[in-house]
Amino acid sequence: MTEAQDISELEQNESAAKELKKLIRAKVESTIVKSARLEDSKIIEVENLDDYVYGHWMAFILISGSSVRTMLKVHFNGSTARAMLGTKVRRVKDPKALERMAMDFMKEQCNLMAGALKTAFNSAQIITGLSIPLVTRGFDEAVFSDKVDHSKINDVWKLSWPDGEIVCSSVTEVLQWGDFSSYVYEEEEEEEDGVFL
Amino acid sequence: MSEVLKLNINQENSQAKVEIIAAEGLRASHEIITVLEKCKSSSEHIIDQLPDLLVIMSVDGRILKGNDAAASLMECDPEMILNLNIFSVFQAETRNIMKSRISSLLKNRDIEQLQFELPIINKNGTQIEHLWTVSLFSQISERRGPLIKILGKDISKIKEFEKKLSQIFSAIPLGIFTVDSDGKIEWPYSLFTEYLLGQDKLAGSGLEEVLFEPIWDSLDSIEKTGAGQVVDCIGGDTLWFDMAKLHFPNEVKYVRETPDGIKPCWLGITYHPIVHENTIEKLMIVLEDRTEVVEARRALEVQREIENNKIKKILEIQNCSGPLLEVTFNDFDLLFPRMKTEIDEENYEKVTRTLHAIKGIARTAGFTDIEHHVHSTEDTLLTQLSANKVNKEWLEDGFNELKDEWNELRSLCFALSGRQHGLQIKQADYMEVLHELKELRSTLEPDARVHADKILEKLGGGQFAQQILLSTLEQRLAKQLKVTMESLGKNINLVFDWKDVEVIQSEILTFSEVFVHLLNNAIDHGIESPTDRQKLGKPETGTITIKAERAEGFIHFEVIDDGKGIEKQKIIDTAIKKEILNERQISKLKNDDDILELMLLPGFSTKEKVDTISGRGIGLDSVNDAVKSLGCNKLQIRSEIGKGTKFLFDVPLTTVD
Repeated sequence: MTEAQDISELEQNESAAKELKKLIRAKVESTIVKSARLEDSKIIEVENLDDYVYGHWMAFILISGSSVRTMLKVHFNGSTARAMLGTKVRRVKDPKALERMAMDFMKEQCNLMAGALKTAFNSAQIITGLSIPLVTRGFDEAVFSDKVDHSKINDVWKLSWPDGEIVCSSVTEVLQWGDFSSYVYEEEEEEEDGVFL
Repeated sequence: MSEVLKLNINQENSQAKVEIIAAEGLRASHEIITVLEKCKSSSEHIIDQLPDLLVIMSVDGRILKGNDAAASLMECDPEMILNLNIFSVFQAETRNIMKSRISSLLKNRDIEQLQFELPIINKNGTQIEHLWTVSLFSQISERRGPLIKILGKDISKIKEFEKKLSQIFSAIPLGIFTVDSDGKIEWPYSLFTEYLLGQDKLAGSGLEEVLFEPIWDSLDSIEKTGAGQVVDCIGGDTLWFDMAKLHFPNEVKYVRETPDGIKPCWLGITYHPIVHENTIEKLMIVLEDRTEVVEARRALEVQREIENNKIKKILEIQNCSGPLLEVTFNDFDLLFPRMKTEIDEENYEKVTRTLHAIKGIARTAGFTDIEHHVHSTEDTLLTQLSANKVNKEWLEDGFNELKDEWNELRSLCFALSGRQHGLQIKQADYMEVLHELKELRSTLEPDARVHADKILEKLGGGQFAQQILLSTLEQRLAKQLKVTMESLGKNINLVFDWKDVEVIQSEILTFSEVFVHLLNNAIDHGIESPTDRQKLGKPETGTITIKAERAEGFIHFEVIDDGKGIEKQKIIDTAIKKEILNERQISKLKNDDDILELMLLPGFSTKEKVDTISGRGIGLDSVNDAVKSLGCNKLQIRSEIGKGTKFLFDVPLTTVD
């Protein structure tokens, strides 16, 4: 392979990575905005990636296939999760039940985000599977996360709205760049609201 | 169904089976992950609920994880603690200490953890004491460098308790401290320890240096041994300690500086082993100020001694017969004023003789305290006399003590007999007055003297004009014989041959003195021991005869013993040895009488060992003076080796009124 070919491939990969970032951010944002009925939400870039403990809680899910592996994480505080549940839990008074429901809600967000992503990959003929979503303490990020690997697509951003904010992060490892050589993310029309509870 | 179709169906079934198995495996994995998630959640809950604060932070203090107690310290919701800075709860000074400790932890990776106390300031501005345990946090990822784990324990209540305890500890009027295996005093100790020992900054000081060295000279040999074993017991077993502690000093005298000057204090010391697995790890020592107790005990002991002394005196009085007591009282009434005069006149030779007389009388009466007291005074006075340095002040003090002792004896005697002189004056003063009156009496004309005698008799001052039989002395002399004879282990028969011979009342004391001395001399120097007498073919019981017979114009007295007699050469040797005479003077001695007369010289005694009976050489000297005072020329001595000795003197009748 010539040097010119190498450069061309690298450019293609960079382009694909950008598209993948767009895709992931879009699916995450649209899922959460719809589920939590967020208004006036916006994405804010996180400048300091070293702030790697982004929230007291962390919900995460793995989308994995032979071509790509993506870890999606949502970093949040309990109060934010409860606020996102909104009127759905207004009759629940027990704090423990409320917290459990909030955690389940965030797990479900992971499921929905991963499902949307999986569908998007499917459309591009990339077959993936989903893990179960988990919720753990945000500090675990500090203990278990690897050193930043620049061969992977790392992305962190903040989804902010007037009443709260969450931090989302993703680490995508493309195993077969060839499957994404011509991948371009296209915004889709809005779908029906997701159903939760 | 065709074979091909059947094969297809079988292939599809087996494919479905594989997928079902894979799906079941996946579901099982999901379930176990769910269980693990719950376990993790439970662990987190436990950490959240820890009573002590737990923080994991970056080296600059930024909190990455904190439990509920940490959130409480930071005064925030537990979910809002992230990225807060733990250093904000410290004041500038304590913050620097905390940073310094973390820095040293990072520099020296061999340190597993550091533990120290630092206060924090809460929102009310109150200082709260915390015990901090700081260590490096072991993490799988070191993505952002080292992390620090901090455990903080609120010890404010412990500190408060410790403070109260310390206040109580300081207020306890006991010295309490512990000693480590090196024998060093440990901190903390009760502050009262410093007061009791009169030293400060005791921590780290050696026990022996602090406790025993200042009083080393006052310890007896057993206590010194015990003091050396106190520290040695640490590290030993309790059995050894229990045995050794019997020798430890347990009541010692210290000197303490007070605003009123240096005062002695008594410390009680108790030793308590702190034992672990039957080995003494350290000792707790408790010091107690026992000054008041010891002083009270000593006062009680003195009081007891006084009372015992009184009881002893009472017994001595009760053992003494009435007539002997009467004679003794009369003699002392004369001798004490006489000694006072002699002291005033600084006639110390005479003082020694008077003391000797008092001693003899006291021994006869069985008043042992006075006897020993006089003997001791005599010893000292003779030493001073030989050095030609008599301390008059000391002698006056000694005289007063003796007189007090005598007055006490007399008061007891009066109390026992129920006799009261009726005058509201002190007994001692009464006797002084009586003595002065007796002195005055001697200056009076015969008619006036008769009148004065009657007055003195009414006052209880004795009978002056009347004559008295010498036989009144027999009981006293017999008692004297018994006491001396028993003390020397001799058997002696005392014979009085003076039927109806009388002397004047005022001179009976002098006769008494003379006979007591001569009797003692005969018992001590003359009569041999029963064994010696047996060997010599003599009866085991010796005989001393006191004889008096009235002749024309005088009374002839003899004191005769059938003892060993006096060796003339021994007298000569003694006279030379004591430098009473030199060789030239000795050569001029004409006969045996001249040699025997050497014994009448002051300071002569052939007995090498001085005891309370005789041997100072003042006995015969004193007797010679006494007989001279009765009007006799001198005391004569006749002696024959193996047969005995005879003392003779004649008292002219002209001296009798």
